[in-house]
Amino acid sequence: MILNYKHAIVIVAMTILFASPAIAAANAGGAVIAQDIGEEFLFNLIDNGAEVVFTSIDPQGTPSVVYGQLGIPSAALGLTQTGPGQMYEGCVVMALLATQGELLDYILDLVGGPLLNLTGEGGAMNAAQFGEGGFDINSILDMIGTDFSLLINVFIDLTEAEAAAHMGAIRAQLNTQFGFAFAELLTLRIDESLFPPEMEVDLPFDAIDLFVYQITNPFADAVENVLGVMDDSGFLGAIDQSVFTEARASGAGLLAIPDMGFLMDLIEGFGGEGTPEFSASSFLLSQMPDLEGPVAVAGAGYIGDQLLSTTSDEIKIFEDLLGKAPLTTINGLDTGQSLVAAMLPENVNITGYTPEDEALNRTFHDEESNIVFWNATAYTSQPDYVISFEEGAFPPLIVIDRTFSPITLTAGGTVTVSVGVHNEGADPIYNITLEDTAINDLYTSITVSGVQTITSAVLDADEWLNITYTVSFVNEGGYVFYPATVEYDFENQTYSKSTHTDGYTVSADVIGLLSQMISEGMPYTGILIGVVGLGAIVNIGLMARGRGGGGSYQV
Amino acid sequence: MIVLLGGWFLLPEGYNDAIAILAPSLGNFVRPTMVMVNLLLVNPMNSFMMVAVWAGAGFIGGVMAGTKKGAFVVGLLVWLSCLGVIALCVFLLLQTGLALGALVIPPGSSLIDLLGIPLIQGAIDQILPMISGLGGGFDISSIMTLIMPLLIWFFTPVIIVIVTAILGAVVRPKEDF
Repeated sequence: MILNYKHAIVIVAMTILFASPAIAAANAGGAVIAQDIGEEFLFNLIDNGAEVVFTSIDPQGTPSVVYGQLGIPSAALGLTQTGPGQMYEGCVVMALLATQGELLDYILDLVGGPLLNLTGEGGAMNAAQFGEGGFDINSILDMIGTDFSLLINVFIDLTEAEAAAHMGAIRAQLNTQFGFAFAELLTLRIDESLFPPEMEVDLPFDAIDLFVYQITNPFADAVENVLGVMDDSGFLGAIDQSVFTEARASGAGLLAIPDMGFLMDLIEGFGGEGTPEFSASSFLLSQMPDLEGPVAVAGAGYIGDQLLSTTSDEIKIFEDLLGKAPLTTINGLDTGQSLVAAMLPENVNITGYTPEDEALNRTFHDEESNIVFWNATAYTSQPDYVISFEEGAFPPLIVIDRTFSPITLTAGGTVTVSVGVHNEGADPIYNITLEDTAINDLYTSITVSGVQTITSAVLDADEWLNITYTVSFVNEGGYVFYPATVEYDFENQTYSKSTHTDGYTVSADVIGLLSQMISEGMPYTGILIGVVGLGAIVNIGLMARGRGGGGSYQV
Repeated sequence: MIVLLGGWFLLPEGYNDAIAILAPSLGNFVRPTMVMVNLLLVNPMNSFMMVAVWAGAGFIGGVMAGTKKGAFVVGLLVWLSCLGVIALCVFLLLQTGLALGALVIPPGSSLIDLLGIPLIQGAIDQILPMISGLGGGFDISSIMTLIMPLLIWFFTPVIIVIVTAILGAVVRPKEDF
């Protein structure tokens, strides 16, 4: 797999959310990942506390944005409470994640599939066990879904009661201090009693307690709560948090390790006491610095809709991408480092950026990757961070939209689906193909009629291209409409856009279901109804006979 | 009727998620089947609502029966009727035809939501550790160990409904003139 600019946003997102502590730990020893970034760079960020805004614009003008804080949330979470009887005693790791939309699809499309050859197209690491055809990663997402809101905690070497008590205390703190609400999904204890004595299993720990909770807050509240864990003295004060909840795909999460040293000792302990064998993991562990104490990272990110078009010639990082009000200003953290990085496609000719202080080593434009870096700690009350570029670098603003009428129905009903493409740009686009056929092969019980594919040679500015079709549902359930797509040409380049993946709910028709049960259950349902009816008649007869002289009730 | 209505309207969210996923492929009888499964396999440790539904139905049935013998018969008949209904539901489900081609999670939910089903929570809490513990292989006692929780869940409703029915008959016994 050849890494390109698209992968950077994913790598940064995953780094911030999940991998920073380990990378930072590896960094001090000069491991490969960290060498690419810079000696002790990430380690220092986590150690000193930092916030990072990383944005990327793809060739179609679509932004991806990640905002994260490293190190700082550990204080707010009270991660230092690791002493005997305190809530983080024995806690190895705590992860909290909330996602919506196609975020995981996007990440796995860019990284998971190609990297592991899960799509069968040949990747850096060939997953031979999936055969020559590979394995379609999307089928996994189809099976498990892509919207999660989970809290996962792992405790080690505590009694069951202690682990439960500490978990309760952590949940209470997350609830009262940050507003998270939870519903229990899974509690699992793994210890030697789990295995029969004849197996002679020798675990490298006494017991592990795994707790998984569903976050019951609505997604927007969950994101707000994650951001609430962070220090708001820096960028967060200028960011409109709704950008992270109203995008087509977004997520937020935090990862907390109360004692990094404890975790590292534990991982080393898993290796056993046999003859040490050299491996990649043992090498990385041997490079770990003497890390102790709590480490936490928290972040939020989103993938938006097309923002830049043919007429665009600049982008304001905070105002355009993070919802900053026009007249407000931006400040860095009081307690740590603040960084901004913005990546534009290679074909975009950056003509300038503000603030610009390369002479003072506060900003840097890497022309090879087309990334602009700002050390925002050096700037106070900054109006925005702006990149200027030549016009015409992006295609016209094309909007694709899908609507359903009615918005919900009962089994046996029919929905009308309308898909429209609107050229909101100033220039025409050519060879347009609009298609929405994914539903056809997905369910055998539906009936589809109408136009699902249309082509057009040209779509002028402010013109629409529409298709309309109907879908009839026999069964209730939650139906998935995968994205409708439009492909078009502009200046000898082919572009494509798609709608969101939509869900459509068909609810149960109680009366219809009863009549269906009776009619399809014949003759058994007929016999049953007959028996019940006969019983009723007999009872009525007995009651009539017993009137005036039958039993009565004591009161 | 009380049991059926209670089962229908008090279906845990996890079941609704399962129905949303399965019904497009398996048909409309998934819901009544799930309702009956939820009614007939009751883990008393985490499915308090269904315990209450059975208890309420049994108590009212017992009050109406008025005698302990009648209450016993009413409670047993209610449970047997539910067995009949679930048999019918499964029959209709199979008769409709199973098309397992598409099992797609609707946007906004995930397979993890199915853990909201008390039955699955109970299975994870009780059965999975037992399966792990069977590393040495299967024998009669280990199979019984696995089946025992299911048997307990299966017989919980009939015990509850009969006991509460008898209680109802004791509280408000019928007098003979």
